[in-house]
Amino acid sequence: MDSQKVDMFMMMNSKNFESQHLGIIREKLLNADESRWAAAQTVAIKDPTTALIISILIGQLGIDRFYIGDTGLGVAKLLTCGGLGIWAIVDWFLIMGATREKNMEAMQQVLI
Amino acid sequence: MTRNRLYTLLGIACLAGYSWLLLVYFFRERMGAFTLCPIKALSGYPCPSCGSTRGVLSIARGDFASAIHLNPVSYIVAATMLILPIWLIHDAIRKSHSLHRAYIGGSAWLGKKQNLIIFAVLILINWIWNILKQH
Repeated sequence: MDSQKVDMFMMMNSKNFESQHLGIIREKLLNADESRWAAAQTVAIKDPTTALIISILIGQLGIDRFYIGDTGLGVAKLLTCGGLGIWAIVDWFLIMGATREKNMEAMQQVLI
Repeated sequence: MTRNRLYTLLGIACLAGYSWLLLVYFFRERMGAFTLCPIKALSGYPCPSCGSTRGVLSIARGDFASAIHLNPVSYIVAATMLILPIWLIHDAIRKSHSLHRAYIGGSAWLGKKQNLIIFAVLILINWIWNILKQH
């Protein structure tokens, strides 16, 4: 793929991935065929800051986990009063990392 | 979510759940109106799953009707708490991935738009009922 496009993509999305994954993503994008560009751009990347805001406001209902696509954990959180209220607080600190991990998973599916 | 991470998480959740049940079972009188639910503590209104601790304890006593009245969600919680530890131990001994596969399959199924909407509507109805019966 064209390195200018890849660098633009990396600049726009650097905060949406774990820093240790940025190198791998850049490399994979550079090696990918030009036809993958459209697919890479349409990956549903979730914003970690939005996830954090959702988590703080209504994380107790598991909405933050639903938002990042962790449906199973979302249901578990919802049906247990946010993990007895404790998990809801723990998730304030975990949700941004979890969002970035999910984004990486989504990218990997496009860039196999 | 990798297999081992999911199993650790579910194991901790099971332990915490059973500890909480035992705590409430033995110290109910002394706990009074104490609640771990932040929504109930802050607003006074119950959350969609408030009442499920008492519900699960009712089911354990065989009082199935009052569990429905306290919160129907307690049936899901009770079934999960019964099945999950057995399934976890089975997978740990056999080194199997069956629970992980079931989790991923179930999440994907529920993640579909129409299923998620139906689930959300059911939870909302239950929540409204939960609020109405306590006021």
